[in-house]
Amino acid sequence: MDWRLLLAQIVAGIAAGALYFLVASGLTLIWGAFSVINLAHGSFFMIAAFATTACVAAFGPQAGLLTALIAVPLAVCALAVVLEKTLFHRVHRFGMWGQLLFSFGLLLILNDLVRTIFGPVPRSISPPEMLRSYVALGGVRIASYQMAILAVTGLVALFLWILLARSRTGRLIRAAVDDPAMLGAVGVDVSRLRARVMGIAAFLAGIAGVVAAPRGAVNTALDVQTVLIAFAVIVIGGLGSVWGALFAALLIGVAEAVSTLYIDQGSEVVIFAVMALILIVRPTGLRTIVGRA
Amino acid sequence: MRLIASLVGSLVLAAALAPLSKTAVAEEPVIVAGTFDLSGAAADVGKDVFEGTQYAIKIVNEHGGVLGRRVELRFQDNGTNPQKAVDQANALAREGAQFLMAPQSSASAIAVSKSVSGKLKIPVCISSSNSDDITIKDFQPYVFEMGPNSYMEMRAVSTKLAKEPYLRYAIVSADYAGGRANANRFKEFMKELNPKAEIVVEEYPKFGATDYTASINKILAAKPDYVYTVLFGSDLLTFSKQAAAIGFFSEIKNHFMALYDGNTLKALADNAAIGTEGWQRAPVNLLAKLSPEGAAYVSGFKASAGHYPSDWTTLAYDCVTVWAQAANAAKSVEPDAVMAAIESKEFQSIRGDFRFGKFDHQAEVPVFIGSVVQNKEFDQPLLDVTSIIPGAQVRPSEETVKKLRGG
Repeated sequence: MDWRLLLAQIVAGIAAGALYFLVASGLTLIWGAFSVINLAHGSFFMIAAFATTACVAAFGPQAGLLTALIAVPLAVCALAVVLEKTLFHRVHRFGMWGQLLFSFGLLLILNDLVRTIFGPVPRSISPPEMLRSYVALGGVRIASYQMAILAVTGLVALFLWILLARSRTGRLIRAAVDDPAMLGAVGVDVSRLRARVMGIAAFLAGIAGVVAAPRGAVNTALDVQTVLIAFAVIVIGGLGSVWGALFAALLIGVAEAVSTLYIDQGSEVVIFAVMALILIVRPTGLRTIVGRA
Repeated sequence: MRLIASLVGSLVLAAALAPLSKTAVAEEPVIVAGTFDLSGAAADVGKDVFEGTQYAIKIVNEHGGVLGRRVELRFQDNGTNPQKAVDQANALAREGAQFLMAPQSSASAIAVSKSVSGKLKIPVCISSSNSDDITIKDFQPYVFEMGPNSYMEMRAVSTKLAKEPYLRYAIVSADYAGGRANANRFKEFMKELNPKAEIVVEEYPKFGATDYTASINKILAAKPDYVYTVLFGSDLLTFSKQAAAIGFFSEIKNHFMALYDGNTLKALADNAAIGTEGWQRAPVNLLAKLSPEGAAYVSGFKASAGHYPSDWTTLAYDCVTVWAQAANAAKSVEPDAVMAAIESKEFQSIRGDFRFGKFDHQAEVPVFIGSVVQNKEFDQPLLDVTSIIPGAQVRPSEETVKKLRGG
């Protein structure tokens, strides 16, 4: 066993998992609070990534990324709130299948819209100059930019903890997770809360899209790729559990990276193998192990 | 200078497309039809092929059309969906198309070739897809392939590398049938051409992966002399960026070979791994210098589209102009006459003159190999071509083709 390579793969897996968590945290929040299946969550990620390339093209790698980090998640959040208020709220009463079909349609429309605006050719942006090198620790190399993503993930996790544990919105979200029907009965404006949660979820997807953009090709396949992994994460983590999603994202990331030591193909299979294994042992996902939000 | 080149090029093309009458364009138009991947997974390639087709038709019409008849394009967007591509190609063919441009993804191209062109007996040209199944296992008499197929590319690359002192190779390919087939062919050729070479690590990350760090770590740990990849487009872009971020290319001393196309290099911009090697099907910087026709084509296309032609654009352009030459030579747009000309004539193109194999209709076009440089003229990284491997040197022989067809 090459222990140095094993360590390198674990570090790579944690870094990949951090990004998975950024996307999945929002998705699990909406599911947990309102049992809303939003396939278009991946679209928010993709839109944010494309918007980031536009910001970097306009202001350069450093100022552009900083601008994107502030403005893009807010813009995506606003878009999600508008979509919730104008379209999504109409399909909630149709249950899971209605939401599934509607959000899939929305995903296709947003994909075509992005293709029309940005064109079909993949885009690429550079990370800021100061984050283009790497750090070598005990023979393990980690890109500075990946360390920055880990730092952002830490901040997002902290934000979520404060939101859920310390704010009124958080208390209402937790109440919705426990008993959504009860909320309306005690006079909470559920429609407004739903729009707020949708906005927060899109905000998180927006942050993920911004920080992911300099890591690779920005193309219109990102929406489906992202939402697929995010769904695996929230199923493994336990539907609605933010901390379960964090654990599941890291688990998937590490499993994917470590699996390359033994198999040379199809790391995606590993994600779903982990999912199947967890569901056999715990059909509700990991949330009872890690604790729900 | 460009204007002169453009004028000279136009004159040469006019001669190539002769005998044409500039006045007799009032007859029924000749219909060229295409189902293009204008949306979906292959939309980036589809857009370029579409532009190349449009531009070629414009040029052909400017020079009198085909047999004096104006050429008209009819098209549909198949969304990178093979079933939709077949349905659309069928409809377009039945509406009177005399020539089909194949869709861009290999799956769709093979489906249209077999299910539409072969059955309805209408010539179809394959531009961007280069799966050798099209001209070998799935060959039918009305298909012709304009790019070097995967067999030729693998043969060209392995022939070049076999002469180098590298013995420990790493292979990286996206995990899909075509990538695997290319990787296997590379291994087979290396075994034949340099038996001392060994494959020390193979990695097949999923198609469209967003994180290659684990594969990159694994390759570095195997300490290869040379890394050969079958990644391209978005996959190559993401791999290159993430590899560069942890000093991969300096660690392997730039001993890295990939299919670089102009679009990917443009998108990579300052993230391109300068000094690494690659192969290409139609490098715009070389075509602009190779001949007056090439210079005219590059400047003319840029003036028309506002950007330089990509590899896919050029292959599509060649499809239409070669078909037009075949129809003019045959003095007919009838499928059998055109295909007979394809099998027997020599064709002029901006990649040089070439013939097609009679037994597989594969164009004997060259494979361009070089290293990545920052090109000031085009203001983007491009391949500085150091070897032009003639198609006739690397194409499969008739015997090999028969063997591969299982005959």
